[in-house]
Amino acid sequence: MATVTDGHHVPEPSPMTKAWEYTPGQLVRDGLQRLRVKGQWYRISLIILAILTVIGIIALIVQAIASGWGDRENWGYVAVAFGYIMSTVAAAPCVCVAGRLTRSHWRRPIDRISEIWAAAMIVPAVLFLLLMWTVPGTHGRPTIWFGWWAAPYLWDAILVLGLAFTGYALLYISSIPDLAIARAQVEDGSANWLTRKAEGFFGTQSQWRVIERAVAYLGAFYVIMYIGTMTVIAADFIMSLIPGYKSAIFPAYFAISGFGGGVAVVVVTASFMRWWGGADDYLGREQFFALAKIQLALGLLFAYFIWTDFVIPWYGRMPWEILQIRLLYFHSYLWYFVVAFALCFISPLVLLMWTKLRRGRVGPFIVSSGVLIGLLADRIRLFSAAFSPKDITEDRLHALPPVFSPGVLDWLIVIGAVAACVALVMLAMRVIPVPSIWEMTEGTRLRAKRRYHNVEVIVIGKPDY
Amino acid sequence: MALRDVLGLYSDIDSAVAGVDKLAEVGIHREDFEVLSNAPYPEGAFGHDHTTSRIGLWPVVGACCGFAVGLLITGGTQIVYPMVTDGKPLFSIPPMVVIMYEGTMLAAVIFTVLGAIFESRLPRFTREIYDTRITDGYIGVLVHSPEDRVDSAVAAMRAAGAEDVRMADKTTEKVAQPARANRKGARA
Amino acid sequence: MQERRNLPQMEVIQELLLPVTRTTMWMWIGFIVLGTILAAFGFAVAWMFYWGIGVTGLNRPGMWGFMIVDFVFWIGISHAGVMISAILRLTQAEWRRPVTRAAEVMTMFSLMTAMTLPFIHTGRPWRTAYWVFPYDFWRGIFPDVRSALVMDPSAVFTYLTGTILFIYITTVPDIAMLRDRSTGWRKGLYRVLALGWQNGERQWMIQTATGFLLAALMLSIFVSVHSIVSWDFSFSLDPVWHTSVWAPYFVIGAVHSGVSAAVTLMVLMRWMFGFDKYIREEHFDAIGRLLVVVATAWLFFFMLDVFFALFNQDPRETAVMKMRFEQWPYTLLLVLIFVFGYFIPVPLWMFRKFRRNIKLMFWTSIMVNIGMWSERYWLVIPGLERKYEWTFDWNFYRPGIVEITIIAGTFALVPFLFMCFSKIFPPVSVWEDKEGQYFLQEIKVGKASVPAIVREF
Repeated sequence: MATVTDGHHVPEPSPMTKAWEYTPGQLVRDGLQRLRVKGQWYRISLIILAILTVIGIIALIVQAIASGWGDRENWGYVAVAFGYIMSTVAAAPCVCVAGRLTRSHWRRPIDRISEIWAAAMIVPAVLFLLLMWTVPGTHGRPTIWFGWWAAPYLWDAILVLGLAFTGYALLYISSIPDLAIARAQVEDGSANWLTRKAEGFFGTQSQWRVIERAVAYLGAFYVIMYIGTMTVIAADFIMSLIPGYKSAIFPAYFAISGFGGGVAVVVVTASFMRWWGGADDYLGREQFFALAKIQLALGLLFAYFIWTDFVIPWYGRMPWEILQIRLLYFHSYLWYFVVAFALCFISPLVLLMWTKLRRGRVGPFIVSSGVLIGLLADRIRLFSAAFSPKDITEDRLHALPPVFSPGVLDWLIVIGAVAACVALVMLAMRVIPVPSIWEMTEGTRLRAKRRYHNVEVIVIGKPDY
Repeated sequence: MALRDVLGLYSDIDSAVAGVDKLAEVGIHREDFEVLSNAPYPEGAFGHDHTTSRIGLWPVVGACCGFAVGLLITGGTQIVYPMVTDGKPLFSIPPMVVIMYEGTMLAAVIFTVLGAIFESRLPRFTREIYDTRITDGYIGVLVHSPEDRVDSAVAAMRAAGAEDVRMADKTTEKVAQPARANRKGARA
Repeated sequence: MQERRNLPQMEVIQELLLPVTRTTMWMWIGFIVLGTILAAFGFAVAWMFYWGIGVTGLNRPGMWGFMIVDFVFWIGISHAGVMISAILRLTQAEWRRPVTRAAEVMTMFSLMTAMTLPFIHTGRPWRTAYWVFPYDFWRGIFPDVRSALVMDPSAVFTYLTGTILFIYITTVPDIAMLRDRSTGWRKGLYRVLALGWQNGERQWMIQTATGFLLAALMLSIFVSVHSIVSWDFSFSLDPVWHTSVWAPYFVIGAVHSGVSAAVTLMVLMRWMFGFDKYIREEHFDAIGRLLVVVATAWLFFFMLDVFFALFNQDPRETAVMKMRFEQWPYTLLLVLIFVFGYFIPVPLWMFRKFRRNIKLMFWTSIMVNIGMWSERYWLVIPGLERKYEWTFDWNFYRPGIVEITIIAGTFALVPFLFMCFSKIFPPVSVWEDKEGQYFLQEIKVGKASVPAIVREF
């Protein structure tokens, strides 16, 4: 609120991050400082996450031995973990792509936060390889592969592993300039294995043009691959396993809800970076406000896609369509659906509609945390429903399959997988500066504070590339 | 105290800002004048103006009214004429949601526009003082000056390079707002 | 913005008011040609009313033909206004300024044109009127809200009302400018419509806030409108119609065709009104980049519709899909959809050189709309031709000369109404153009001058 001093009004503090005022030297020192210095809580968190990961792996092995490798139902929560990580961790790099495409200025501190999650792509890749054997071949069941050779295994593997590879490539290439800075600034002449990979980058004009184009094209390719991969996962791991499940919108819904998860991951990570990661000068109201708007829009899209998936069979009213609605929405997994709907749609709508909350830093964090929980409930709903029918070769659902609720081992598997992702990202932050030094430096050159008659204004450059 | 409107016309923003500064020197502050221009300038260019409006409330009120009307029409017609069509329940919620949504949005839009007109203090077909050159690009500084300070306001505006200064024929019998610092409720 | 020149105020006003103050030669040609087509349209409609629906190609089970396809098409075109105006306003994209009002006006007239089609299509629209007014409430007969055909008018009416109000409120400052510069009957008209607008700071603050609020509201409405239009088809159990993807598919297709139509409009405004200084190559560059994303999203939904119709291997769905891919004229339409709708324009739009080529942008935008009209036909008609399982109930729809004339008439009606609008109100927002000039700055980075903008939060 404005304050009154001597009859003159003092305007509200600028929502722009303080880091825009830094010199390039300050940005470099700050970025490298965050690389080198890690507090006690960092180590403790890493140890806890490592323990949870190991427990998750043990739970997976125990589950497999106790229940047998062959029963698909017992792999339901491995599938939940896989689907959840694909819908959150794997979607996070898409946020930086959207920001670069629209040439927004606020995205610069966020880009590396979104890209760094690609470091965890090994986890869904491994889970996919484990799950592949639970998915039956294409004979006798609906499929999008139309009898292609080695379908669905080969093509699903190409997509999932290709996505993981593309994510790593995107992270590496966008980090080259910062790794080169870290290499150049190392005092005792030693450099870790990753910074040595940036040898040869000296920041010439042509190198910068190559980096910019490579990041732009790789990013666009990543998003296209992500949508394709999620479409195929939705078809092969969910739709094909529920007899007679007819819904052309479902794969799109699965991908869009993933984007919502990706934004939520970035917001939560940015919040932690701000509070405990020493990046409070980089992550201001400007970033959270912009991300909150995107979160709100994706929440509305989430509801829209769920609505179309529901209302068409509701109007069709054929017996198998009613069973489909009862299985996925209003009977078998009712409470999972309610939690997902409330946290992924109602909560963003109600809380982020208020400008005051949307412009703050806590509001987006609370909403995004809710989205992450809601998305987990949603993936439990979908993968449990898909992995529970016994006979997938039937042409239609004739009865509702039993509900498969998670047991202790299932929860440990899911928590272990998520912990593994977080641990990998934290390790990646030890070698790759977050936020990006080179993007912030570029941003400071395109921004100025200027006197415009009786007011100081912020001016943002819009170069035409 | 009687107020008289005085309009100073400037050909560019620099002289208009100079005029605003000169007015401050003679004790006419931001809340006593408004700037008329053919397009908005960056906020604060003529000094910070703390006008508030309740435009944000109008769509909310409209949405509530539209929601209620939508519910009445869709729910009411289904209850009053209970006929099963296509095997759907007598009281079918999904179709109601669609029409209630449209009703909500329609009323929100209508109320927003009405609110914009109302909050802009329109329609107002009679004006005490105005100059059509404002729409051509001139900047007008419209001062609501107490009667005893009209001459100093005119002199200040002319000194800053006003191309034309006009006074309204009539005064308005309003109580002049005290300076914001002295208003009740202002925070220190 | 890089190519913007700082033009004197009076020059901007005079040039942007050219359509209002003068009728150029091309406008006269436009009025005459379009008027002639509209006369033929009127004649065709009157002919159909007099002789009945039998003069068209409609026959069971294909009771929806060219006119309904055209209805869907024009609802689609109407999405340009909201896309360009609302979304770009909310994201504070500067390049929207010269295009926003024209796109919104095109939306308004597209909607009006679309709304006439279901009425004409009934063959006896006066019966529609007296079925609706007065409604037989005395016997407790109400519209069945469960029907998509009741939801549809509510949605289209909401969208049309919202668009008209949006255009009006954002045009008030320009109407005030016209009020201050005109005489005679125009002065009286503008005086009433301007409501006494005085260009005060409070009024500008409300204008800006209202623009944001209405943009957010219209965005929500625009998604629902074309979704509800798609539900006219998907709520039934017809093969290939009864699918959940049609709602977002129709919306994204509408954005694709609408934004392409906006490109066509931008080029025509440059050519007819001489708006070269205001509608510049950078605007085509920006809109081309947007179109690449939209077109690719459209292609994704098209693939979803095809793949997941075949996914369940339902015999009837498979048979209709086979017909769409293998039989004339659907094979030709499929080629038009893919080639004109995506595989020619999008690879061209990937290159900056081509995006800034105005003639190329014009022809690719026309191509897209040929492809999109074909797509609407390809989606709607085959499902009807094979609606029932028994072969004696099958039919081949062939449009007659009456329907073709009616469709041509709709393509003349929208630009005709747009030109009429341009004679009364400026098609490019003068005050928004000036606002852009006031907010324009420059940042020096070494030897380069980067165009910049004042950013308000």
